[in-house]
Amino acid sequence: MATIIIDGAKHEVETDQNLLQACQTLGLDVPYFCWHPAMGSVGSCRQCAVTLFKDAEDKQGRLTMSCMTPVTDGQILALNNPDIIKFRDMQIEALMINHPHDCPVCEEGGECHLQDMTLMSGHVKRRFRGPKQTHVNQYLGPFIGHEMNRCIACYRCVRYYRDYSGGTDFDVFASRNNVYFGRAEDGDLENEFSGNLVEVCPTGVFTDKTYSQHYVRKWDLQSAPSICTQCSLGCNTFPAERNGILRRITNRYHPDINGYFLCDRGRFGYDFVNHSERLTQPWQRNTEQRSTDKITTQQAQQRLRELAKSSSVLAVGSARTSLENNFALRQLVGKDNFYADCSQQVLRQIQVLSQCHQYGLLPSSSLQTLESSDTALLIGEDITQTAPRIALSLRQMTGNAGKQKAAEMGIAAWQDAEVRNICQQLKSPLHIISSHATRLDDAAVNTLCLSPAQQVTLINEIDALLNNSIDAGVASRQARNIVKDLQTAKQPILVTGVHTDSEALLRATIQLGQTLYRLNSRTGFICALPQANSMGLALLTATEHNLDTALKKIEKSPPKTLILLETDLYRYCSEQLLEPLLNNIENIVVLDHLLTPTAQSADLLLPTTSFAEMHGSWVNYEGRVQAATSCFPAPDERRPGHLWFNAETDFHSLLIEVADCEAQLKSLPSLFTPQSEGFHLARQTIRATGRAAVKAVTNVREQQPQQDPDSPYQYSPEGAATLPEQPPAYLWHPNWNSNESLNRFQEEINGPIRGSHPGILLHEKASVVPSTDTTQPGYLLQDSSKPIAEGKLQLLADYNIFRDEELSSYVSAIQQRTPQAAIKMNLQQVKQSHCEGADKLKIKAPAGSCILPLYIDDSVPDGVALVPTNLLQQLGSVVQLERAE
Amino acid sequence: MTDINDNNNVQIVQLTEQERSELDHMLDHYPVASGASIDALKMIQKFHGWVSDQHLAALASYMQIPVAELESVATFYNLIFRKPVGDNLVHPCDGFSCMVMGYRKVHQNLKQALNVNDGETTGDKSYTLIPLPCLGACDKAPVLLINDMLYENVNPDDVDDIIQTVSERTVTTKVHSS
Amino acid sequence: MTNAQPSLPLTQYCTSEQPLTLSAYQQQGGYSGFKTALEQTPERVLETIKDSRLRGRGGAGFPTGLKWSFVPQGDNAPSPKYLVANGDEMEPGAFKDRYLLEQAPHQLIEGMLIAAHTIGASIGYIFLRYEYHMAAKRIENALQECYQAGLLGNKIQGSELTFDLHIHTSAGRYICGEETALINALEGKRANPRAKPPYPQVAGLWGKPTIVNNIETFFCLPGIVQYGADWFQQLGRHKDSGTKLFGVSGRVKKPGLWELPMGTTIREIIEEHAGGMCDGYQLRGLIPGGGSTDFLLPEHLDTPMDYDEIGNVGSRMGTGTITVLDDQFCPVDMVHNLVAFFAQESCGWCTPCRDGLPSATYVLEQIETGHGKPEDMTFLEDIVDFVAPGNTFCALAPGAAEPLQSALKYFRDDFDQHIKDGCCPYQAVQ
Repeated sequence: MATIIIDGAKHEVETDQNLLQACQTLGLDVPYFCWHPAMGSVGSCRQCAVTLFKDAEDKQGRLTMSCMTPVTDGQILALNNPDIIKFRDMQIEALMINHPHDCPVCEEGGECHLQDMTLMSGHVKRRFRGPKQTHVNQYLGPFIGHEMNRCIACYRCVRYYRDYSGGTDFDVFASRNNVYFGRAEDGDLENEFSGNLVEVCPTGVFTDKTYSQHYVRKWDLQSAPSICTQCSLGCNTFPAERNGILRRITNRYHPDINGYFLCDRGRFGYDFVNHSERLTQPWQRNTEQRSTDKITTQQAQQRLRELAKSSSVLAVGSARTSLENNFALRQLVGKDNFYADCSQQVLRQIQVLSQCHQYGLLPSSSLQTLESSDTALLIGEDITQTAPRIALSLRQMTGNAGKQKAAEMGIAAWQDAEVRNICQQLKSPLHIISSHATRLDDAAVNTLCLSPAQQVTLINEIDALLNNSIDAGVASRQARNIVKDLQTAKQPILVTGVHTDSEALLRATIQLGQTLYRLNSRTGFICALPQANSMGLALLTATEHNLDTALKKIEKSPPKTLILLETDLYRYCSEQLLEPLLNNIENIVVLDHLLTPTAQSADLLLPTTSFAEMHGSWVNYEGRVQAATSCFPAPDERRPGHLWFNAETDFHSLLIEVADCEAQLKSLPSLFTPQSEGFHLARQTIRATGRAAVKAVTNVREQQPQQDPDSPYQYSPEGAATLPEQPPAYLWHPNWNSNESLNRFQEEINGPIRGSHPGILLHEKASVVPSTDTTQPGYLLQDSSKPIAEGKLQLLADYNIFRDEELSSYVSAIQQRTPQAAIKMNLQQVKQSHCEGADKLKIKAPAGSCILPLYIDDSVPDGVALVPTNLLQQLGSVVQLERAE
Repeated sequence: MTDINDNNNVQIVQLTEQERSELDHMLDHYPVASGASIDALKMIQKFHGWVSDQHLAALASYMQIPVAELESVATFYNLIFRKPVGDNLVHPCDGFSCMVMGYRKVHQNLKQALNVNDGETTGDKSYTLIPLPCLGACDKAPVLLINDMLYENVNPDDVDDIIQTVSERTVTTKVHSS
Repeated sequence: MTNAQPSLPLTQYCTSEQPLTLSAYQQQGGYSGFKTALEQTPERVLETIKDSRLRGRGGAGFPTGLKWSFVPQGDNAPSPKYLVANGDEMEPGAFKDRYLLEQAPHQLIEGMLIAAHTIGASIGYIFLRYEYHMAAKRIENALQECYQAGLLGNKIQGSELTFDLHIHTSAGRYICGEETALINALEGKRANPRAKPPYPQVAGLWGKPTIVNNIETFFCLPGIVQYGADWFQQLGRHKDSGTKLFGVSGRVKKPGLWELPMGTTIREIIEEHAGGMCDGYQLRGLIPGGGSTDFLLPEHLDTPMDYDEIGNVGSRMGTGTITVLDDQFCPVDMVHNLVAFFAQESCGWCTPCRDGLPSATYVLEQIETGHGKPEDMTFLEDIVDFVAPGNTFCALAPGAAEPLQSALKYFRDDFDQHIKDGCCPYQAVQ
């Protein structure tokens, strides 16, 4: 800690930061543009000037950039000396020379950091008479709009896109007052984290195109603290709505998960909520009339209750909906009849994993831990596609060696450009073991492309080397290289996933993780899961109650009633397999958002609320239970699953019921605060306009805002913007209208948002003392290394961020980025399969067949081929290939 | 059958053997490939007069650095030409010493003689006029650089003659090389 | 080999149109400074350089020995270490390095070898301005000769010294003259300057210790090592040591470049060596050391060209090449030319330079063309304050402010007259 004097007042501040950061943490207004809490300082914009005095005698002081000056004990500074005020005014005047006065039509208007800083600087009058510099804009794909004329050249975008997220198709061009930020030519921004440009840009150069489609001003948005449900990481978000339309998603800072950044799927994949085929009311199939009838909510509720009581019922829960919905369904049909919508393999892997965490054999690490590690081994998972935000953190991990070296030279981590100059090519080692080339390879010291069987062998070899159970002389060079880095690491981490089709691979990885953890207690372990609530669903489900056993049971003795909660079985099963099964069932009840292929076969179809329209909790990959608060009320006909299943139990009673039934979830109710007398928080801003008018098209009477007894937030501008124990529903602070206002809500810079709940960590404390016994060695479980029959090929998943997640795959912007489905294999394998020269291949499997275009990808190892994830799930992993005509 | 690495947007230009060998030589001088970016761009310019999109892409691919990164460097420097230029580059010095000593007249006469404005190329693609700041020969101001030939103490009235001489030499070189 | 101590150590080999070949250079005593250095420990050479009080000839005048002493030494020091000769002479009005490079490339190489031995550098680059084609060819030849003669490469002259020297020609950018920007350019990047610390001596080219010195600085080294620090100090006529190239351009009778003792007065340089003003022209003012130095007036003519003395009268030594402003050329026009140059050469990194200089350029153009308004003078003064040293990321924009602020001070009447008359009063004369 250091004591510094600002404008005559003494303050205690941390020393590992710069003066700008220190002022932010103290809540003092110092304007800035180019500094970013995650990206550090580069001193380019020159807006954050303050006066620094040599000592108490010095009355003159010297103009200093606060972002470039480390905090040292005894510093004396003034924030608003006349020369500083004039300098900042001039700085804004200089920026405004070319900035267009298009605020009324600019989407950043009202939440523009440049507007805020202009006001803060006091600049009001344009003196320059000359013309403005103009630029041609680029098409940057379906996500991001580009308006270069607004650019103030703070360099944040290129520092974020190129330096932070590793993007290669975006840069700064030209020089002087003609600098241009964009791509070398028009085209989609390729990086999976491009959407953060919208938040990183302090003005309206990069805007959210999906938001533009249904744009309203920030002050008219209704928001709530929520979480992203598009992968297993549980990134924190602010969904924002007006008039029943979800308008956009922005980042909500969580220090241990997403930090300041989201992936593009999480940010832009929300429009399914507004889908034209979104179910609006209950439907019932009328077999006699051969019609489908709209029914009332009461009728639907009644019908569901009858069906649930029928002689035999089977229900499938959902890994993408909340714990509460799944729990309510399980209560309705009974544990014995409740199944998870994931395969036996996947469920078993999740349960093995969570046991390891439970028994303290393996840590369950956060992304924050990952970012502070110094060596990472990524095994068998194309993480950029399956749990994207991890990839961004892995990339940051590789920068730690450079930061370390800089620290030795007295350069702090926030001195971004200096650290990069010092570290140059120096990287903390990231080793990748994968079945094909990945988007992270450029950050890795080495990527080994191996078949799953080879991967298992290598991992066992690494494990054996670490255990000293084999002689280094006989080990492969690859294994030795990886072991060398793992052994020298102070804080190594393993990253993997259960997505892969090889159960043995995860077991071997777990084994390796345990070994490493025994040798080094700072070892980290991350295993990505297939869906947002895979872990939560696994908690509620017995291992043998998975999709495979459910289908077998349906085949053997079809239940009278099948209840499917928010899951589209056609994603996992081929039509050939599924249709006959469903045909044998008398009553199929489907609850979902959209008219999915499964929903089309429903006899009773019930519309459910999306994540944005209900309260719920999700358990992320690390076993962190997090709450999502409803952002806006759904029409009465659209209900959360738990209300369909049990309309009598209110949300909080349900939470208590969950806590009573599930020992691990006993503190679940603490995540949610019910409404209390007197103290409310507003979901809408105090400036929200036209509350009476917004629905006047349909009803001229002003309607009472819908009540929300289950949370302290109101669906209206009434109430406080913040309360001590509650996270804010949106970020907005006097003088700080943009998302940069976050600094006014954080406990400190890079600290949590005040009042926010970090989530309940299920695996935080091991319930059993760490065991030093090794469990069954991984190499005895090499089921996937079984030889594949002659003439056959093993299919592996070709994961894709914009194809694999169900709900976002209905979103038009996401679809524009979905790659063409193809089968990928190496040229040698194509020749061996006698398919050389073919444009398309027919893939034949017992469960069905399909035809796909052939792509040559020489990074794919022999004996395997990659196909889109859902096709792999439908076809199974062992197939035959032939030329398609 | 499609190669996954194909990029169909840009028409691919192959580097010549000589270009590749010069590039290899340059890459040897630097610990990382991007170090040779400026040398590489100038090498392309030496052979082709300017750097086309296709050549930029070919260089980036050979050096295994992103096109955007190379373009970022190329557009930063004044003397990397991303648009075609004429056979002869005419650079009158517009530094302040030359300005004092009569640059304006030299410049005016050049524009007339070539019938172009700054940054433009003559219709026959022979000349591109680009004034450059101080050429470091202020004691001989005004000066004029044409290709790598520096004309000192230029008399504005001699501009036509100078251009004439250059044209004749260009013709001769062309005859010799054909 | 001559033992007589030269009085003009920088230009003693610049005797004919063509530079000396290696053998001729050696015959006339070349490379004996380097041989002397090789016989000494690096520490000893460093002491000599420090004692000589040699100050960097690029313009800032930082003591060379002190700069070198920051380079980490010893077994744990990072390697390789780099040595760079800054030959990116783009300062308007500067024309000294070109002359040296074209005339005596071997003296540069010799100076660099001495530096390499002293700081332990194993790789060197000569960073040359794009337009210096002849210099590039001549250096290229000299390098080849040295490699053939074993003066470059592994175990030079049987010593432990290994030094490879490459030539890098730039692609045209004034900012490359700034040493950290030059380092970025050498790395094949955009030439944005870097923040300091870390200084290049500690973490420069590719993150390794790097020394960047001006061409003329390297030219000083062989003499210092061979004849000693005292000899070099005594060469200076005033406080600063050694000789320096001084030049004059503009309306003088004999524009040119001369090696003269440090501390020679401006008057002597202009009136004696350059022959005084051309007939019919009066001296109105002068810029003493390239476009980024403040104007001086005839009243300053008796100032010695010493770093501190020039500083005391409100300007800088800079490159030591003087440009004179005569009474028939418009000072507003001259300042406009300079500020426009600096605006054009801004790298675009920091706001005051990127957006401040072009707006000043525009306003100066308005004034020069008769469209100025009285309030423009306040705007220009504000811009001068805005781009003051410390306000910007590097010294480019403060450099641009120097001629502007001094012109506003010394030639204020000219500005006012432009604005009042709505035209340039010098136009008719020209």
